[in-house]
Amino acid sequence: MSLLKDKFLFDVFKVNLNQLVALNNKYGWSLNLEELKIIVQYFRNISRNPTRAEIETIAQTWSEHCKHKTFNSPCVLTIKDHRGKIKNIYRFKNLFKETIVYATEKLKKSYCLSVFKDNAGVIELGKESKWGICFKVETHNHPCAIEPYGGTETGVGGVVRDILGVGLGAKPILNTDNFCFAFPDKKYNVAKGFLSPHKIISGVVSGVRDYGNKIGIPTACGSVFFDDRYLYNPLVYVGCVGIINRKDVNKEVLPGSYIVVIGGSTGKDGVGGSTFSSQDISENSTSSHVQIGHAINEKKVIDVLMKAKELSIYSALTDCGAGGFSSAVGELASETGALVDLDKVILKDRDIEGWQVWLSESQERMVLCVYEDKIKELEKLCEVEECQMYIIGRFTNDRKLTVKWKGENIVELDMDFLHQGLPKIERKAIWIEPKMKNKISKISVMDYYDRFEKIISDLNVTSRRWIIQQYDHEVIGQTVLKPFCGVNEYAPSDATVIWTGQVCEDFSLFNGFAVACGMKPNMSDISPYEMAKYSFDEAIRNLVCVGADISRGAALDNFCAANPNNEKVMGEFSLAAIGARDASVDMEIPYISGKDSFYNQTNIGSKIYKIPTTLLISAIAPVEDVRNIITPYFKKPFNPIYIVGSFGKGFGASVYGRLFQNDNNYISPLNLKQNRKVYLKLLEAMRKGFVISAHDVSEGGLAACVFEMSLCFIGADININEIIKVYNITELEVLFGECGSKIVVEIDLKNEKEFIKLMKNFPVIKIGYTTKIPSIVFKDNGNILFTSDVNKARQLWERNVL
Amino acid sequence: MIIEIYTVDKYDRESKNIREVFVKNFKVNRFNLKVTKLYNIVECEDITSIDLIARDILLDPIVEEYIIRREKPLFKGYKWGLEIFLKKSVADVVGESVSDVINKLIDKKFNVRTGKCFYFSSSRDKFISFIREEFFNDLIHTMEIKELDKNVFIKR
Repeated sequence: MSLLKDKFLFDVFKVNLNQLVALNNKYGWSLNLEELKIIVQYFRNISRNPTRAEIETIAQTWSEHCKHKTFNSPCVLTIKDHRGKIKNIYRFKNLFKETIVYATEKLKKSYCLSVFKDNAGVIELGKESKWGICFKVETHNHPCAIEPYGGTETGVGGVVRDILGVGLGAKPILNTDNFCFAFPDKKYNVAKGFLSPHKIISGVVSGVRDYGNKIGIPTACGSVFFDDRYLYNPLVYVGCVGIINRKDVNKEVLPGSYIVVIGGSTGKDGVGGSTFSSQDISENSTSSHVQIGHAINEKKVIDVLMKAKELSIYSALTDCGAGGFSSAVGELASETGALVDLDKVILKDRDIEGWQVWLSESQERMVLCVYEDKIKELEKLCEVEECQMYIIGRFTNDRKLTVKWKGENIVELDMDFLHQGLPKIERKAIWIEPKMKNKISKISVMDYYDRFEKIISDLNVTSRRWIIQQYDHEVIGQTVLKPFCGVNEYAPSDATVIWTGQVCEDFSLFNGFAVACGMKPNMSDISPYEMAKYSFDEAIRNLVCVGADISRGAALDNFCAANPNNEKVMGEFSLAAIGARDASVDMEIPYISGKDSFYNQTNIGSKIYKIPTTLLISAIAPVEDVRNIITPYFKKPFNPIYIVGSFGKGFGASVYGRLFQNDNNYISPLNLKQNRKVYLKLLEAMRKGFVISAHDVSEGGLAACVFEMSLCFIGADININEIIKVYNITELEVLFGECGSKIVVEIDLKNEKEFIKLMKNFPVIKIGYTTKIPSIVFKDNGNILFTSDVNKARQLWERNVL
Repeated sequence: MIIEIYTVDKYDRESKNIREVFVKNFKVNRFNLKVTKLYNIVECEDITSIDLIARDILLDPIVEEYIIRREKPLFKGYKWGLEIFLKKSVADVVGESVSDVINKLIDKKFNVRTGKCFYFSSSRDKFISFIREEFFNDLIHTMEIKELDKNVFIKR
């Protein structure tokens, strides 16, 4: 009999379904009944009982976190109108492939170097450049809900390792962070055992700050969205951009090569993390799911890898993330096979079982496929950088995963079963359209200023300086456009621009790239389809505002939703996926990577707290010459101001709607094909030097946008009469509406005629002039609607809530 | 043995800032606070080694001083010491780093656990709830409130 504790948990020939379900709940495998049955059948076929390590390996590999089984499943979506009448039924064999992958395959962009197959997507840095940019965004929601600081730190560490694991290893050069929280300045009756929004926010921000700043990567792009429904389920998206030489984009696992781990030691921390994030959060979440990051260890790993890559020491690598070795070795060896001896692992806990070593999510570890004759060189490198390394086995060619612990085999699984054995279960999805209401209550002109003040001091509009100022934006010395710019760095930027000459080791180059994001989660209740399109459009519009070349751009989709077993949640999600597909196809900008996170709901007693389906679109595009980028603040008085793009009716999902008109849920649909044409034309105007500042209209509407552009002591005199006439909308919709997609631009006076000529036949309206006085004036013909002293308004906008 | 590092009052912004937030939020009139950093060098009884670790690794001698102690908090002039440590099951990366440096310095391997101690003398319940909200997470931390002896001996 084996001396190993818990080696076998049940007898496959005797166990019944009830017992299996009980074991599943007890050990937190997050497997469903179909999956449990298939596992039992597999072991019956090979006439033996499974070990605990094997069940845990299968559970991790088949988890929502690792396999994205919901998004990859067949799905039937029924759409009903608000009366309950069926309008349409969509059937998908594989929702992910028929939405996100479909868009990318249809667009077939030659500048996409690697999509959906590696740790991150890769595109060309510029036309025929020998360098590629890779971009990955991850979510770390469940860990951050229970321990915000450690959860966020390890999220940042994890996504940086994703970039290190792309191809033969990319160099990480920029971190991004996007959050969704409940309002920190609002009093909630938070249930016992859960953390307040205030505590979550300060922990999360500190986590990003401490890890990013210490590891020496700038954190310079992000966003925050506040909504009550994130009270128990905050969303924490962390991203990383890297630079890779084109020749290093592909990796190959060679049988006979060593399996080498570099980085941290292995302990019990984070055991079962991926199955934990594949279930709802409850009061029973435990400290074993908590990991703490170690930025300095990760910096050592980066330094070793960058040198080892130059010396061609390894042929493949990946990061140790969710599922630990089981996932990293399992994925790398999926086409070959592997023999692992866990007794070779450097441990930091003495009292640890083999399956725990195999599944541990201890941080800062990378798994490498090292050439047999290069081991000594790697040892030397690790010694110089004071980085731990240990050989844990070899890649084989038997397509089997074999793991030993204390001389016994604790895992012996066929790779085909592990990676292809997961059953696909058809999911049902339903979406009932809400009744659209476009009621607009008239208010006195006297109240316009009051509403403007309330909007710019709303947390979804206010400055994020209280978060952003904690991050290092400039480390490595390559950040051209930071989150704030202009005089005293008062103006908020639309996107971050990075110069890449230094990383690419050619200081004569002035090219780089821009990164931006878009998110509109509160639109999910009204139309998940439009929510996805608005998010996509906002991300791309932000890139346009700085002058990035969107015709060579790419996007990342990061979905978060509640429990997909709920048909309505699945309905919201699948409709958002369709919207994301159409947005990409219409804009002709492909997806290169993404992630989905489910079970973002919390059960407290009988009450279920769900998040709205949330889609973060992160977009990236090359910048031909970083010296010519456009910034958002007004530059000179007496320059003409134009609005480019189209307005829409309604206050659905807007700040104004939430504060003053919550009976208006109308959203104007977007025409992204048209928007693409407008954006490309505007970029042409930018290249010709006609545009000297540009800022997108988003939360808070036109009034907030013009205010933000005026923050650097140049004011604006705006007349909205022409907009009202052209779009047949009310003054309030023009000032505070968020529907449609538009960019406010300042045109150099001497180039105004050429700009008008160039933009002929495009939706462009002149709305006023910049002024010498730092104040903004909004008029409808001769009537002044309101004026605002920008310096005074800035006090409201800059408020710190922590 | 525990090495307790504290910033001399003149430079101690941390204690001052935490005190200000507490006084403001809980509307407390008179309240004194001293915050210290704790390094528990587990299973180390050699006072010479501990002294070396404190002076050569942990201390910034310009703005900080240190105390070496066992269980009981020792800071003079306060009634209670509220200690927060990471639970044993949670990785303590600062502790791991200190442990590595100790190993290099004196060629001995010790497990190091880090924490904080808040010394105070009044508004006990209010201060505990403030600390719970701001500095404590049940899932990863342990918290212990210890009453100080009146006549304490401080070895500096």
